[in-house]
Amino acid sequence: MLMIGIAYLSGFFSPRQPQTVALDVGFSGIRFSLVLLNLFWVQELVAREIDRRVILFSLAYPVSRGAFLAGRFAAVLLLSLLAATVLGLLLLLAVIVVGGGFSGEFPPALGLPFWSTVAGLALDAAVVAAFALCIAALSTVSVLPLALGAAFAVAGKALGATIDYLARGADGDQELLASYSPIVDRIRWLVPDLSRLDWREWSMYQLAPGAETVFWSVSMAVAYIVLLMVVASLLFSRREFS
Amino acid sequence: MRHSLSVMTLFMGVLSVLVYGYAQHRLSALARPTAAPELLISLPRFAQVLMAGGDRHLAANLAGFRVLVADTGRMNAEDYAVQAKLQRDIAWFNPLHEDNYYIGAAILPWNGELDAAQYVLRRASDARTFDWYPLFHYGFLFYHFRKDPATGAQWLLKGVPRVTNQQDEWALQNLAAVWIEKGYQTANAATMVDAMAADSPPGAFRNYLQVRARRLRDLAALQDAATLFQARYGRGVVKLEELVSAGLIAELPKDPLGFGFGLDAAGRPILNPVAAGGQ
Repeated sequence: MLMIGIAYLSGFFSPRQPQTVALDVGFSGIRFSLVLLNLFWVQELVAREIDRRVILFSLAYPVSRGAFLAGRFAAVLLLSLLAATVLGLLLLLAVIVVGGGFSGEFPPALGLPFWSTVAGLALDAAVVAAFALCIAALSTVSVLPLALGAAFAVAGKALGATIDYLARGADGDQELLASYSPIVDRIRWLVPDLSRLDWREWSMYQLAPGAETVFWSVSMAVAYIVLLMVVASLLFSRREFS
Repeated sequence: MRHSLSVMTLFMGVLSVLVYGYAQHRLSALARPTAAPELLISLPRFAQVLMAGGDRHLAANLAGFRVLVADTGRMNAEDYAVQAKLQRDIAWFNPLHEDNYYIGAAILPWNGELDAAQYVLRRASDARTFDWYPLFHYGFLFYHFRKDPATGAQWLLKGVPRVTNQQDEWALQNLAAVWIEKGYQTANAATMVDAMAADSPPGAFRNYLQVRARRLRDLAALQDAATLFQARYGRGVVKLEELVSAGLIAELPKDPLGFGFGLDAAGRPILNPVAAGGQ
């Protein structure tokens, strides 16, 4: 709610495109909120349960540990989708009322492009949730999924900007280019580029992302989630609780 | 024992209140060395992205808000250099940012940051493929600041395929033709800055552009008078006051920005540079 309020107020800072700026800040707010909520839910539904030993009762049911984790992830996903829908509706409202009578020449697209962007942000948050779940499956420290999940969310989102900066020659800094390019080239195989799931320019400037870009971005995210869930199941099934 | 503890607690409480109050009192008397500049620092791009949670759009908006709240009336050359850096960063984070290119066009080149303005507008022109305004402003930089109307006209013409109505298309083509045909004219530049002001929402930003336009109109009037003076007396003016004593203008215009008008080596009236005296 606070994020959406900030998005609304931020529109008043813009002399030329109040609705677009409100939308832009609002999308950042939705992404931030969804990531935090997902991390919090993973923390509450898995990590804290292990910490309080309540997990022993849950695992006494005749379901596999993998199914238990998948169930928890599905619950987080469902809650996340619900939160994304509510935040999306609030942002729509904020964008419609912002502007103070001045409408820019290029109004934002608030239909399918808007909801596609919200869906992309929800998928981004789902990847972060899967990562946090994987950490929770093996961690003995209950705050570790939250801390590492947040670091993963920032790293995944900043990766696109880093790759872009290096690809454009790092402002002519050859030393930086030589030292960091090989590292980033390796990291990009381990950490997904979450900025690829950000399609806000479609809604803000009516610049639709290419179908191929969307397809491969979604494929990357879904495959990464499945991979993390498999790893989490394997780790969790071998874990011993005392 | 319990009694001595409560006395001790009370004593610590009173002491901390006194120390806090005295410290605040001392601090209020000490000047903040960083309070003067409007825009003090610009962080490296990666630091800005990381502080925005890895979100380059948010980093662009945060830097954009810093630029927007800075008061141009209190800024000096150093502040404009920081603003130029911030606007370059925004253009890199999100080249589609409309406010950034518009403010860049309206403020940076007039305050000694022409290269930064060109960078911002070029990025916006390439990214905003649906918008002809960045190309228009980019062309205007060549026309007014580089005094290269032919190149400016070429950029205007590149904007023509992006125009969505016939009237704007003709206006753009006509302007390009005038630039090529007649070369640089100060009055033309004043009209364009006036148009930019009319296209902005009411407020300080529009006022700023209107002041810029008024300055250019006054300069155009001085230049016209200097041309008449040359024709009448067969020599250029040595001092601007000669235009008044010759009856060509009623009085010397007052520069709303306070920098005044001067003469170049050929005796042609010019705007005193904004950066003169470091202001």
